[in-house]
Amino acid sequence: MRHWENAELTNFRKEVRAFCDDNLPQDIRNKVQLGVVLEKEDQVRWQKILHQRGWFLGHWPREQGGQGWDVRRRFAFLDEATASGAPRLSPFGLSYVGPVLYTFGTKDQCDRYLPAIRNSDTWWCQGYSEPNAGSDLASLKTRAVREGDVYRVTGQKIWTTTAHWADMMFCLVRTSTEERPQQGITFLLINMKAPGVSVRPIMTMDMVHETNEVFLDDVIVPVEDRIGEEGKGWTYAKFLLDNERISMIYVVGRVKLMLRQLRELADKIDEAGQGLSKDQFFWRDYAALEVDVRTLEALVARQLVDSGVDDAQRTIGASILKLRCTEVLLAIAQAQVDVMSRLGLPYDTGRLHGDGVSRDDDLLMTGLMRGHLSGRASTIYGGTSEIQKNIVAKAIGL
Amino acid sequence: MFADAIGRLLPPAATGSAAAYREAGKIWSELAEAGVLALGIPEFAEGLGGGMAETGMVMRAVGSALARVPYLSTVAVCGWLLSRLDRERAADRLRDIAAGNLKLSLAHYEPGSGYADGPMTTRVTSKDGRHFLHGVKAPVLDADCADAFLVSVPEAPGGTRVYLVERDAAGLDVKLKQAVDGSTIGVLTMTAVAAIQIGETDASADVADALLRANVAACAQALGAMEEVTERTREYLKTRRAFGRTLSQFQVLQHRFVDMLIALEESRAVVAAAEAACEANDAEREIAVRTCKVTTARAARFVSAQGIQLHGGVGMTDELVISHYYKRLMTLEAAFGNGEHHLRALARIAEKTHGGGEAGGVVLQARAS
Repeated sequence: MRHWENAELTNFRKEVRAFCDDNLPQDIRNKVQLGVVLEKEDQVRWQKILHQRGWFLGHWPREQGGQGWDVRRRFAFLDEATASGAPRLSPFGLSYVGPVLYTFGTKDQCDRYLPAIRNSDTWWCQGYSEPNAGSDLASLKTRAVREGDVYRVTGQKIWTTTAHWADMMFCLVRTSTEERPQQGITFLLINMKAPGVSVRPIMTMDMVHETNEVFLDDVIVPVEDRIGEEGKGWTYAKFLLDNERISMIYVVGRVKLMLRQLRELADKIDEAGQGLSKDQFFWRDYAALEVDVRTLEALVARQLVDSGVDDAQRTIGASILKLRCTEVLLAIAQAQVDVMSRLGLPYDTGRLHGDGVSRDDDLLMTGLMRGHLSGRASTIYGGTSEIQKNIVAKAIGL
Repeated sequence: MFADAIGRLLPPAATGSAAAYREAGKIWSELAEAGVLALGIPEFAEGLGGGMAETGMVMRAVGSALARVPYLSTVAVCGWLLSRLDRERAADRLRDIAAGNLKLSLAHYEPGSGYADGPMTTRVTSKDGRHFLHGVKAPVLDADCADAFLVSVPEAPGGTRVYLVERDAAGLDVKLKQAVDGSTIGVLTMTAVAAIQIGETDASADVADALLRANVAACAQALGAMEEVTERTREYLKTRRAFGRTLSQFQVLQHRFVDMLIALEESRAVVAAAEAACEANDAEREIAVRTCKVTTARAARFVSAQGIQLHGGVGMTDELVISHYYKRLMTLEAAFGNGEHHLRALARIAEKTHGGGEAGGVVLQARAS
């Protein structure tokens, strides 16, 4: 029993685990446990199943159709769902633009957009980074010019993950040039089917197409699709980025799954005539990774216990969590690679989009290799590790 | 003279688009014409008799070019092994290698052995002076283009024999799998495959040496790849701007880049030391080579990872060449024993050398029994 969880929360965990074990479709579980690519249809299917149970919006306020879960209950839910083999929930509508809408949007905007976010009928993507504005996001240049009741938007976004699936994009644009670049930024909701929007796929090093460039060529966006005030977009963006960092807590479940996969690999791959799991050296290295994972869990516990106490501490905690989560993830992935090295590091890109049925060793190794390759992005997206350290340094007033 | 030919035929991949790697077939004959293959072939076979340093030079260029050419397998490992085991009788085959007409791969490891010396279950049956091999060898490097394989087979009471099998021999099934860097992994399944014995005596020591040399060659190739990653990263840091200045103006990134340079320097040093030790047939060459692999592997992981990290998002794309070096460096470490494997071997050597602590030390007295 975790010391920050009471008996009721422990029961809730059992309930979540039982529900997921019974209701998570096996083909989705297969894909997650093997590490192969999930399709849009897979994600939506699971989200709708959870929504029917009332848990998809668990951490949303009750008045917005959620359960009002605090961060401890949310963590308990994510932990058990992940342990059962559930995929990460797509955050764009659920954790990013959804909360922005009900926090800063008008009633009209909420009525128009929230229902389809709730039932996963609209897929959203995030138009933030640009080719020349990554870590330095405030220097973004996509321009929105006001003309009567509309904005005309021209520019380019990059690293728009799932833009090729998306119906809508929430987008940071520049409406004016000010002394401080943050001051001229506006938050717009853009229809991906609007004339002038085009999506170009970007193949990443794992040989999967997940992310994109989005070109905006004189796209008309009604003023009704602006969130809040013109020039105040940075405030809403920061609110959203704070939410993004805490969603890292799902990684704890992920790294526990990775340790399990590592043990399985060690059973199956031989060294000197027997599985690597018979090798003392293997277990010494494994123990070090277990310590890392337990330390992560303890870090999360501190966040959950201390959250809400102090803004600076919360910021520091979230950044440290992102930093350490990603580093531990990479360390376990590397350990998996070390074991698979003996087979020459196979990677069958033709099987990356699993059929949801096959469960062979080759497919597992391909999935794990994919995790290692795509995992290299984890210290870059959502604020690079270097930026996270800047954030912590600033938050403690160094 | 060779530096020019090598520079022309194996230009750094980073100067071109990621897709412009040279295909093996085309460039192999050009390498032969330019005498680059003959560099690693002994003089008794009309080769140029180059040693570890010359092989290293070619391997570095192959590494920086991301070229898919089976130089390591054919020349550095199999050519050398043939000349050691068979001497003058190998002359014809060695001439064929130099002319670009014969590619060879070593089939040594087995699914059950991992990186260890054994147990190897491949076996030979002989009848009327003819030999037939049975068993599975995997992973085999460069199996996609090999014309023939040198197969190591255990021979009681604890020795090894090497046999040559032709790719199109009856009973030989060559399965090819894709590796993470796009190269192929061979799985050889042999059912009574006709084989020619290479050499007359136990080949254990020579096979062990061939594996050491294979590691050094792989490290030299990794060095070439790391040099390109480092150079590309330096250029990026100097041109990419954020927060009103170039990335190279941030001290954290300066220090990070220097860390990459240190890793590179260490790799250069241990590769040179290992090359020299092998060339001189030094009694301590095993330690030099294993040290080289451990240090180079560690350096490669750091350099390749930071190459991506310092490029930010674009480092993750397939379009930019950086991630291709990352994946190549993974397979180079995995070949012939990864860093962790060699470190374990060094641990065993260190323990054995120490000898149980009964002798008494320089500082402390001998342990009372």
